[in-house]
Parts: sequence; C-alpha cells; structure tokens
Amino acid sequence: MIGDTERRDERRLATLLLIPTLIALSLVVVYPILSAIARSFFDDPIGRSPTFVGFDNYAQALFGYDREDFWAAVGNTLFFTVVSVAIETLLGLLMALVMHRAFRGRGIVRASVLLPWALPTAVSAVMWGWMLQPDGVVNAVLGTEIVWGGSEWPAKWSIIFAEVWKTAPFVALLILAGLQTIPPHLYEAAALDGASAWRRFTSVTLPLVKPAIVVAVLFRVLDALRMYDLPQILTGGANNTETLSTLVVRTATGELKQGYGGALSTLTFLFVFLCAFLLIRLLGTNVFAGVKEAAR
Amino acid sequence: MSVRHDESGPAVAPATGAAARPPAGASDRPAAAPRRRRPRRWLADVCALLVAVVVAFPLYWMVLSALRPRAELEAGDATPFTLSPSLDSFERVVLVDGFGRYLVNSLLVAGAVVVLSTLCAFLAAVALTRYRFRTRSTLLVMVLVAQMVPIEALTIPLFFLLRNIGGAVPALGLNHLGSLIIVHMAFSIPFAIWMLRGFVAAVPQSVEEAAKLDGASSFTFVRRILFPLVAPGVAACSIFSFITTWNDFLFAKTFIISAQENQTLPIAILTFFKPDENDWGGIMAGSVLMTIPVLIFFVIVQRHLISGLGGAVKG
Repeated sequence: MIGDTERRDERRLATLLLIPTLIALSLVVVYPILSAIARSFFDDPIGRSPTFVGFDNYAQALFGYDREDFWAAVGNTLFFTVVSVAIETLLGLLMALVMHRAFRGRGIVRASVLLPWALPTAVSAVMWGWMLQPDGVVNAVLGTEIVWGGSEWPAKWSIIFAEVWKTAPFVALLILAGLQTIPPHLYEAAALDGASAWRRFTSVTLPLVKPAIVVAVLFRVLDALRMYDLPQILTGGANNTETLSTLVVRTATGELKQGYGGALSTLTFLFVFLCAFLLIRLLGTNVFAGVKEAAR
Repeated sequence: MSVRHDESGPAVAPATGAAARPPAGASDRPAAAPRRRRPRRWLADVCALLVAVVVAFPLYWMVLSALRPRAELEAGDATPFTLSPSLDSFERVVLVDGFGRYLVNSLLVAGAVVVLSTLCAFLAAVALTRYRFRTRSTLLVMVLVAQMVPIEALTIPLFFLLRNIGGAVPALGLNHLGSLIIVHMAFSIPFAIWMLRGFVAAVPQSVEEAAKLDGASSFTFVRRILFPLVAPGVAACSIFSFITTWNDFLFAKTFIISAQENQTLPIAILTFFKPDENDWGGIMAGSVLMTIPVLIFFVIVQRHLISGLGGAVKG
C-alpha cells in the first residue's frame, strides 16, 4: 500500500517537473512539424486556395519530376555527413588525447581550441568563403590557383574542411570529458602486467572512452545530416553541393512552394530519423542503458 | 564526477598526441625508459603545436583582417601581418545605428534562454531519470527525436505560429524578443536534457533517502540538494544554449521583421554585406566583437565544463 501511494506521488511530481518542457516542445517543435506534414498533402497553386492531393508531393520528390534534385541532395548530405564525421572523430580523439596530457597552459589551450566551435556558423562560413576566394589566402598559402567554389569536388571539399575545422573541437571536448573519467590506476596496472603502450591504448583507453565517442558521433551525425549554413553560404548549393536542408529551404522559402516544401521537410525528418535508428543499432551500445540503471 | 585526474602528473597521464600511444612515464617503468622515450614526447608536442596552428590560423586571419587598413584589404594583400594596424573597422561596427541596443537585446535573449532552458531541462531530466512512470522511455526517445528536426525547414510554420501567438500575447509574438526566447529555449532543451541525464542519475539514491529521513520533501530535495550537486552539468548545458542563441542569424532575421529596435547583434554584421562589394573589414571586426562575449562566458564556466561533460558522456 505504502509503495502505491509513493509511486503515485512520484508520478505526480514527475508530471509537474515535465510540464514546462512538454509545453515548450509541443508548441515550438511538435506543432510546426504537424502543420508542415498537414500542409504537405496539399498542392501549391497560384491564385486559388490549395487542394488536397494526397501523397502526390511525396511521389514527386521520390520518383517523379523532381527526383533527381531530391536524390542528389540525399547523396550529398550522406557524403558530407559520413566523411566529415569520420574525420572529426579521428581528429577529435587526437586533440582530446593531446589536451588530456598535463602541460603548462593547458587551460588556455583548451579554451582556444574550442574557439572555432564558439564562432557563429554563419560567420565561419563567410570567413572560409572569403579565405577560399580565387585570390584569397588559402590559395596564397598553398601556392595554388584553385577556384574553390567553381567545380564540384573543390566545392565539396571546402565545405567538409570548414565543417571539420568548426566541429572537431566539439568532438574533442566530449571525448576529453570521457578520458577524464578513466581511473589512472588502470594504466598503472596494465603497465605492471607488461602491456605495451599501444596495447594500453587499445585495451584500456578505447573501450573506456567508447561511450563518450558514441555520444559525440551520434549528436554530430544528427547535426551534420541537417547541415545548412555552410553549403548555403559557401556555395549556395551550386556544383552539386545541395544538402537536404538547403533544398527544403530553397523550395519552401525561396520558391514559396509550401506543400512540396512540407513534403520535403517531412522526408528529411524521416531520413534523419532512419539514419539515427540505424546508427544506434550499428554502434551496438544501448544509449538508453544509463536510464534504466539509474532508475534503481 | 570531479576532475580528479586533472592535476595528475605526466607519469599517469594516459595519452600522448599523434602517435596515440600512452607514454611510459617515469614511475611505471622506473629504470631505462625515460631517456629512450623522450623523442616520442617531442613528436607529440610538435603534432600538438601543428594542430593548434591549423586551428588557430583562420582565427588569426580574422583578427588580422579586422585590424588591416581598408586599402590593404582591397588590394588583396596576403602578407601574414600588417605594419599599420587600424581600428577603423571596429569603429565602423560600433558606430552602426543602434549597435548598443542590438548588444543589449542579444544579451537579454541569450541570458533568458540560458536560464529558462537549463531550468526546464534540469526539471525534466530529474523526472526522466529519478522517477518511474510508464511513458518515461517513450518521452526520452521523443526528446532525442526533437534533436532530429530540420530546424531551418520549420521556419515558415514557426513564423505562422508566432504570428498567432502574437495575436494573444504580443510580447511573445513576431517582432518581439519573446519570440526569439521561446523558440531558442525549446530548441536548446533536448540536448540539455540528454547532457543532464547522466548527471542526475549519478547522485546516489542514498542521498535522497537521507534527505527524506531528515524531513525534506521531494521538491526540497530537488531544489536544495540535487541542483547544487549537478551544477557542473548545468554549466556545460548553459554554454551550449548560450552559443547557439548568441550566434543565431536565421530566426533573428525571420521573426524580427519590422521592429528595428528589437533586432539582435548578428543583424548589425549583416549590414556590412552589400550586393556590390562586401565590407570584409567590418564583417571581420564585427565577428571578433561578437566572439568576445562568448569567450567571457566560456572563461567563467569552463572550469565546470569538462567535468560537466564527463557526467553527460558517462550516461
């Protein structure tokens, strides 16, 4: 009996604590998604009110008239995400390992390494765009005359480079936090058992820092799949660098096709969801595990 | 969750740089090792320096461009220094009409978002980790799903939503700072909940039981005991929400359409983008100025940041 009242009290308190978050999320996140979905079943006529067209907008994007645009955007988004997150994770791990060492001025190094991440994405995109101009400093330093925005691969790589520059510090920070939770005596024990430095890295550091890497990769992938500012500002989607987000915004805001744009944003959302689902499966770690343990 | 290994000497620091090999420090291989390992240390230091240079160069270039006199900029000068630094560009930025007003607005919005979103996220994280109820796992997944929403794609539905809200509560509608506050608050909450979750979970159940025995109600426990214990996590969250809010161009440009006096700082920088020729000196000076408050905020809370994230990634 006592257990029952206690649980009822817990439920009531939990509801109370969740109310502010639920109100904010349903208002600002859920409602716009639902209205975009509702709008996606209507067409985009000029000069009369929209009529219901069922799944026509979706069909148009997936295998209709606009399928090339859509699938190109899917391909680009995947390419940018996979390549940049892979580089970021490696580089972030490296940076975290360096920052974890004890050296003088470590605090300053940590703060300054994080600066690129603290810079507004739009500002860093503009800055890279300027540095990557044909007569810009990048070409001057490299001694090349590449027109970075002028053809497909230089444009793609410049987006990836700017993205990695901006977000590797973020990954590094998350991994560094994970490194600090590893008790030092494990290394001492491993060393006493005669494990080589490489062995200690692969069998102590990596497994113990894996949860941190998983969290970092998961959140980075979710962000990278929705990449907007960098391609928008650096290339404007030219030279086959359009991502799903820039495609949606161009359609819904630029061409004012709200019905078709709604369908595209719903597809984008589903695509991100699918990727996240597969990723969580692939990483093999139960991201929700901590919750159940914590619930005593 | 303390930064307990923070001050550990080189002997136990488990990692080096590029070679990614934990160095055998002096204490674990007492005899021959130290001298032989020296070169590797040097290599690691060089790699660290190299990374730092690559990371820092664009930032250096930004500050340098902000300080260059205009003529030098327009000539496309690529020398890595300037002999005649000038504050002209900074002056142009600060003298933009209403710059002070924009700054105050940005601070107001970012401050309100930091306080409101971390508070909401903290309360939600407590509910989602410490109490048992049927929909808990579902809610947690929903929170993660909210992190998958293509924000830019929702600008138009959000615009109409805010227009409707503004009809009822003007202070939260279009053209008011309130609109930016609620939107940013909602988009900051999901990540903050996920960060705070591990933290709240790390506080042992026995602490709560002890508090209850001393006569504390559940609410008193959350407010007086749990909150101080998760403070590092709160600090980490506040950095994230501060940066995203402070840096936002898109919403500021979309929701504050006609009310000039309610614009935020990024819009001041936008005035230097001109159709014919961008004023790069002004843009770079504005960017430098915009980064300074982020830095200040970062320095204030950074001590807690690393340990704060430690709680988050431990899950």
